[in-house]
Amino acid sequence: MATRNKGKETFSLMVILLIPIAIAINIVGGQLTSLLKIPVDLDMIGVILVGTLAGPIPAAVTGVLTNLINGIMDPTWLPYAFCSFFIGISSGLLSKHNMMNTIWKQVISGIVIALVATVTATPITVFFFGGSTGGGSSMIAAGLMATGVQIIQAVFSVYIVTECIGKLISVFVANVIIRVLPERTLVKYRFGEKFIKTSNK
Amino acid sequence: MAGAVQKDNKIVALYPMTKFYIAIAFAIVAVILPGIISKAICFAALNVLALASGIYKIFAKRVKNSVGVLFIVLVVIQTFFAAGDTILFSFWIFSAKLEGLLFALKLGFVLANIGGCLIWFFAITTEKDFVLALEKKGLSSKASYVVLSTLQMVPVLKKRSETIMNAQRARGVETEGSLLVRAKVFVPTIVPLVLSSIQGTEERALTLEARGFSVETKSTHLYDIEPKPVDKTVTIITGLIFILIVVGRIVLCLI
Repeated sequence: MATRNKGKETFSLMVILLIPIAIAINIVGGQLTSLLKIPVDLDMIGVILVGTLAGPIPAAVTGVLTNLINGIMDPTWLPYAFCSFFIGISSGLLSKHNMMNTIWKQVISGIVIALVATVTATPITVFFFGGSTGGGSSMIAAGLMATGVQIIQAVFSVYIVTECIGKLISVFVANVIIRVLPERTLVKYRFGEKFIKTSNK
Repeated sequence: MAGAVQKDNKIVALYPMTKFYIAIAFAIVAVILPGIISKAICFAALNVLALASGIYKIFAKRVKNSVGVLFIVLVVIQTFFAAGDTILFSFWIFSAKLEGLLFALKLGFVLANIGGCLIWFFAITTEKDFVLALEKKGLSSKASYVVLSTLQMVPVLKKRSETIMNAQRARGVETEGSLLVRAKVFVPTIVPLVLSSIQGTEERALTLEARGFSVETKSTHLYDIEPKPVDKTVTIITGLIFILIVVGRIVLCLI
């Protein structure tokens, strides 16, 4: 009980309170991109934020819950919970190994997360939904298929482009947020201390 | 989020878990039934169920927006781009193939049924009731807090993001124009949104602790629901019909 509020255990109260905010940010971020008509999916910022601050398991929980809650209104989100789980795990592990500190490491992290997202999302789109993503990107995929490319290759190549752009921006936005968080908040999370030293420079 | 839920409807008034079992049984039946026609009948039955629950408007709208869009794209992609020999018709460089169309219809109806079941379930059940029922089944109270708190937070944060966007507009940030201009608004909107929410967590932690959130005893509920005798009957009937259909399908397979 004595260590409860030090923020070192996986699910401290601060992490439990951070998860709903992160999920809400994912959902609002997704709505904001469609409101501003930005053609990139920025619906995983919260997951990357939790992964960077609190580690892989809370981030995976955030990702899966985001998809479940979005699935209430639109059940096509549900199979991609698998994909969000791995995005959460990978962003948490990257943060654990200090891959979120400098801008070059963030670029690498963004690409790694994008690769994870692509590899997990492509089979779901191809086998569950027969190659249809329901969004504007499936039109591009259809265009590729018209030139004779196989469905799985078309979906993969569309995803790798959209995911790389989306996840790079998401990693940067998450880091902008962490940079402006006060130190007294940062210390309460498991990996928060890693970001204090750099902001003191 | 669940929209208008009328408790006087007999189906709506059932215990959440009972409705959940019906939805799951329906989805599994839709997956195992052979052929496109039986799956289509299943989907028609689901529409009747939604109509009987008095939520057809919400149901139809959500189905159209989620599974409907997917269905159309799926049919187009599979018909024109999947491999197949039987060509139905062709124009320009495209040719529609029968195999792709049949595959798309089959998969499309499976998706429509599964999606429809879930949409029906959440249209007639408030998330609050469902989470409470799950908690009674053994879900941890921390997990149910996370889910319920998220559901409350989404509309609040959405409203706050609009306020922040208006404030940024007032100080001269452009929110309309070319893609680059619009993309630049994203960061000045999302960063204050996250910061203000995270600042609130400390107060929230104090409030929760003051009410014994971390105490490890069985919690009591101010709002409570209990299964009624009719729920037991409905569950048993659903189970029997479900087993009958599954056994029938297996027998059909063996013959």
